[in-house]
Amino acid sequence: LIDMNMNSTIAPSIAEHRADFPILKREVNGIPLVYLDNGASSQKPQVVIDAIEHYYVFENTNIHRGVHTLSQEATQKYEDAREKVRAFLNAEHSEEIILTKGTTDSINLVAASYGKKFLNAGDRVVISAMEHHSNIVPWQLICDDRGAELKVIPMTDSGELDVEAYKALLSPNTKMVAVVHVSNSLGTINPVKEMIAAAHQQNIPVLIDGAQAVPHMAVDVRDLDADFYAFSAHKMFGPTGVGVLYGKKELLNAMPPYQGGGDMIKTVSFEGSTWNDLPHKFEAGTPNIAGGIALGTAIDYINSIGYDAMHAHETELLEYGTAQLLKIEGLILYGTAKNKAGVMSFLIEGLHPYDTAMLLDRKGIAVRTGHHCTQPVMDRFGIDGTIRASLAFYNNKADIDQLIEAIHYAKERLL
Amino acid sequence: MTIEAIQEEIVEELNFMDNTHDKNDYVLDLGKELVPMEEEHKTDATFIHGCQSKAWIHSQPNEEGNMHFTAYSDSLYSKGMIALIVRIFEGQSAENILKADLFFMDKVGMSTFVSQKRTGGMAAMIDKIKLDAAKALTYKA
Repeated sequence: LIDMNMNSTIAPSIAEHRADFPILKREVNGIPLVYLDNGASSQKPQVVIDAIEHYYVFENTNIHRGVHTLSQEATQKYEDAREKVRAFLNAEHSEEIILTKGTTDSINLVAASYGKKFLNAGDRVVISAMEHHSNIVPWQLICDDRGAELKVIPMTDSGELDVEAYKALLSPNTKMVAVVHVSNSLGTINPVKEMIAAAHQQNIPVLIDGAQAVPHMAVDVRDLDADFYAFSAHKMFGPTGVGVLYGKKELLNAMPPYQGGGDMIKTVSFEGSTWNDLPHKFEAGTPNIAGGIALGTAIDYINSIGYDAMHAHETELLEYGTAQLLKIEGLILYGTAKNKAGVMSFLIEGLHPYDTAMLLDRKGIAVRTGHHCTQPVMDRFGIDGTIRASLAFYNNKADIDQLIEAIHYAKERLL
Repeated sequence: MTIEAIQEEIVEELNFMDNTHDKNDYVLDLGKELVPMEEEHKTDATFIHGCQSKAWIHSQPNEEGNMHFTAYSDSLYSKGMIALIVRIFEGQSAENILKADLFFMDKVGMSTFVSQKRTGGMAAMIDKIKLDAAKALTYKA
């Protein structure tokens, strides 16, 4: 790639960016680490680690309160990060960006606050069969509280949502649709734009759980016309404990506060309090300031590489990995949708996933085992769990080859 | 052999191995040797709750009040852990099982080579066996 501005410097290739992640240089059990648990949490590039360190070494204080230099600088950097998130999502207003603890926190915020105001007895919330527990349980809680019912969009054997069945579930009493963009356990990319359009025909708002989308693809909330979009920093090369809730301004303004405390108030008296404007109305208490700033750095980092390059590399890797896995006798792949991102979920006949993962770890390979917080998905396939290898752009074919070799080792040892 | 002596034997065998892979291999190999359980004994009553994988332990006291066990798990490693426990308790009296002090896990440093969830599963297996022993005593009385 050529920098068109001047100097004609050559940008690092995707392969060279692997060196940006110090943890990928470490060994596990004397073998170089092969990190294939990116769906659980991605690794962090040095620039993100540096941003966190820099904050605590040079900038640490509380934000939005003091007039002293440190407070003003930290506030500016935190708000700059919010603006970076806005641009990242192509949202219209920065006050539509609520910084939260993560995807789970974002969804709980909407379920509790929107639900309290707009859900009534007999109303309906529609979710899908492939939701993470974080996009099931908050809705169960509020539906129980409000006497509303939860309806579930069914899924096909390939792990794709039945969009026609979805449209049939939309009814005049449906008050919310909450759907995952990319399935964490199957990798399916759902047709969320089409699903949002269908819901909007009946004036139903839609929340998208984008936790597994943002590490792999550009998200434009205005193009999708999403009403709410939730994701976590730690799955997209940022720190843990910070995430985002995008919400359309008019909806957020209509919703009551979720939690009470500092920063979210305008005035407080014992007779009653008034609420701060967006986004602060939904940001009670001192936030994860270093985390928020480092999320901004993670966005800068992604932008410096570009989703196009990441996506092209990951697509090739996913195809290669899937083909290699399917050569293994007795291997069953779960999630065979046409549109997938980053996930290979599988079982091997006669091998328990935990035993397999233990032996893969022995070979330096980090994968996830279990139900991946999607027990209904496992029930749908009649299994207890899978082994999940999940990719990031810094993985390569050598990682896949090492995984395949280790699976053969595990088979030999366990069968 | 007493429960204490069998535990000492296990401690000696495991501590003889100097790396975690060998220790885990030892458990896996034990799993392959676990005597299969009758299908009819895989019931809710014999199911071990709190295990990462599915596991069942069936207990049967004989006329002298000594306990006999068959077990199954869908995980080879869990089978190995069950085999270890069964080796300690097989043929022991319900009274001795109930009052047994299980020290072998600490002495072999089990938490250094077995995940926390799996040691939790082992504790659940031991609890189940002790509960069965208590029931056997109650029944006998």
